[in-house]
Amino acid sequence: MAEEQLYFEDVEVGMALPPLHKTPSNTLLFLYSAVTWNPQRIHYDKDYSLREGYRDVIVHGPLRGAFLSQLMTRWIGDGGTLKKLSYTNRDIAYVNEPLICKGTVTRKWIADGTGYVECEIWVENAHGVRLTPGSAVVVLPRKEAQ
Amino acid sequence: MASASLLTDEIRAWIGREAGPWTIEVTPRDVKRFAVATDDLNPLYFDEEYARKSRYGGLLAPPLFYMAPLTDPVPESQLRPDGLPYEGKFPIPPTPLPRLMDGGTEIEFFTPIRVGDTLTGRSKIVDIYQKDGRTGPLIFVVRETTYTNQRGEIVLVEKGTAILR
Repeated sequence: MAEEQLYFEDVEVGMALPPLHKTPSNTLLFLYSAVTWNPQRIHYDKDYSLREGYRDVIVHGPLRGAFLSQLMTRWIGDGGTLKKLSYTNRDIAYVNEPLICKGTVTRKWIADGTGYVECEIWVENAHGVRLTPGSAVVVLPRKEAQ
Repeated sequence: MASASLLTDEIRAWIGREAGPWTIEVTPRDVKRFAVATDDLNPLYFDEEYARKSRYGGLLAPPLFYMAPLTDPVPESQLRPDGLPYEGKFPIPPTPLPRLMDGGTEIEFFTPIRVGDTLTGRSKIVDIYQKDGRTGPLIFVVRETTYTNQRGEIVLVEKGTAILR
């Protein structure tokens, strides 16, 4: 993106990633169901969702995964590379619920001249509950290698 | 209190079952749709001039774009009451637990997905196990899926867990 490139040397263990705010609407859930050709009713049919025991339609697990991938790619910029992403959908996220994707740096190391950074990442709701905990590994460009 | 095991020999026999191959054409239109539907408006995904000047020299797809063709289009008459197809791209063993959830995913990325690529996916069930959840027994179906591109490069390997409850 147009923002300044993040370098391996800029990163310290313990630092927080810039949070990413998302409030997935019915429309976004519809678009995600459509683009993934996913006809599962819990994502668009509230009456049906109530019958399955939910209180509203729910946000797709992989959409929360996509938000987490965006948390990482936005932070590392075009010069960085996402190497690993993992997440577990531990709790439900409902439509129109404000979600925040967050992360902290847990480790950084150099292997074969390449700078790797590992982060703990998660999606939390307005109550601070971590709905989707996960982790990521990225490669960042090194200033020394320039 | 632990629930009785729901894992019959018939269900366990699904470990090792393979699915695919299936192909995904990474078209500019589908990539832009996916970027919009995930609210991820990085110009690398749809602004050709921007992407050409980037270190990639062309348009990329978002990392999780490969999830877009999740379900094959099947007629409504072949959908279950929950809306999912009876026979999906990722077959799930028949169990007494009717509800399906995405339990999570681990992905290792080897090379970016580029617009214009043709991806080939192949998957295999690598584990099936049962745990007790808050609402009763849960069955976990773990699947490893490998995607390669038209150059034969491994693009990514995904280990995904489906939860039946």
